[in-house]
Amino acid sequence: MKELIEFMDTRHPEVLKLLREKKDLTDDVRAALDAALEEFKSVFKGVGRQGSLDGFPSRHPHPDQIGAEHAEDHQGDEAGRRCQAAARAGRGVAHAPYAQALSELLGSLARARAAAEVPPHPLMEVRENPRRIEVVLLTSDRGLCGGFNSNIIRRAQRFVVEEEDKYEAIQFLHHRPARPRFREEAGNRDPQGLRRLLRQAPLRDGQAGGRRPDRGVPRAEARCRLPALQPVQVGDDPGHHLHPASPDRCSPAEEKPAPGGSSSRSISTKPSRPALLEHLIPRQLAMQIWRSCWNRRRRSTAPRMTAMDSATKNANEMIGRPLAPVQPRRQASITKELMEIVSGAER
Amino acid sequence: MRLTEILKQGQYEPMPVEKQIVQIYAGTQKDKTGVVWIRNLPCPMCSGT
Repeated sequence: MKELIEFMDTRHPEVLKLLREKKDLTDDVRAALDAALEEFKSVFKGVGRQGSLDGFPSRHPHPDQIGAEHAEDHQGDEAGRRCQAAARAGRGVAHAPYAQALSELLGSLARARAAAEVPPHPLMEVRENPRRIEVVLLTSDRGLCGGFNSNIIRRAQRFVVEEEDKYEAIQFLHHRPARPRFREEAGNRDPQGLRRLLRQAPLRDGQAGGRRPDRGVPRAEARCRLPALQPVQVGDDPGHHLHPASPDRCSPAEEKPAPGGSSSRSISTKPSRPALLEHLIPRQLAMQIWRSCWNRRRRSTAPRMTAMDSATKNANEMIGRPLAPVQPRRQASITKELMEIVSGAER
Repeated sequence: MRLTEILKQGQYEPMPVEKQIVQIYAGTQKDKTGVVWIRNLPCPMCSGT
């Protein structure tokens, strides 16, 4: 009903004005009301208890119409639900096609190499039983993200408990929110920290038979290499394998090889395949991490909004609470001051 | 019951009478095809009567 009143206010104020002036349901008022209701019916789409209006300027902008970074302006469970629904619908994934395309391209390259029985790049090798893995935790350092972060950490703990038997060692790569290098990255302005991290990544031994990333690599170097990463995300996001694309991790649509044994996405380039891979793999890693950062940001919005909502509720409760004992004391001090003024005036 | 529900208004936010008229009109009248403007479905807020 609220939507109908808003609709009448914005689209048909003349009908309300007519009603106000005539103070009667005359035929022309009825006709105008019928027309307005007909229009409202065509625009209004009931969604559960809360309706929505298409193309209708609501008092509060719809969270879908605003950037995720402004979504925190909209408090309340409803906003949180909408935000989560939008996240689930993949609105924030709109930026991902390039990452997807790059994954597919690398997957196709890996397949082509596998078909030609060329040993793949060490980082593209699918290892059956990785012994050491590293889990990257992308927590958030934005305000009110405690719930989001604890979800991620809980998920990581669960991962450790469930998967502990499979691996020799599980390392965690996480950033402390206070670390300035990652603060830049967390702000999503420019992931300088990540870029630096990737630039340091030693991919020189790109030939087969080179040193395996998980064999005798010093810890600091292993951190740069990001070998065999396992995903940790919260919610319904399955996470991304940061480990570069491999034949079985590209999309099924790309599975069909083109005639001649080469993939449909194979491209003819001047540089050699190892050189191409040297160039592409860092990009792929950066892209996947970038994508995860975006996902992290997208998914942290709803918990933040929920936290903000509960903070608002608590604040509203607290506003009423302390006044009860304070009020009489305040009144007493005012009365005392007044009495002093009055008595002073009498003297 | 439904009319009671649709006429709800916030405390200290009196609804202008013309808006109440619109609400009652939408709640009681039918469109050209004889269908009520407001659906008559049971919902958590009202019993649908």
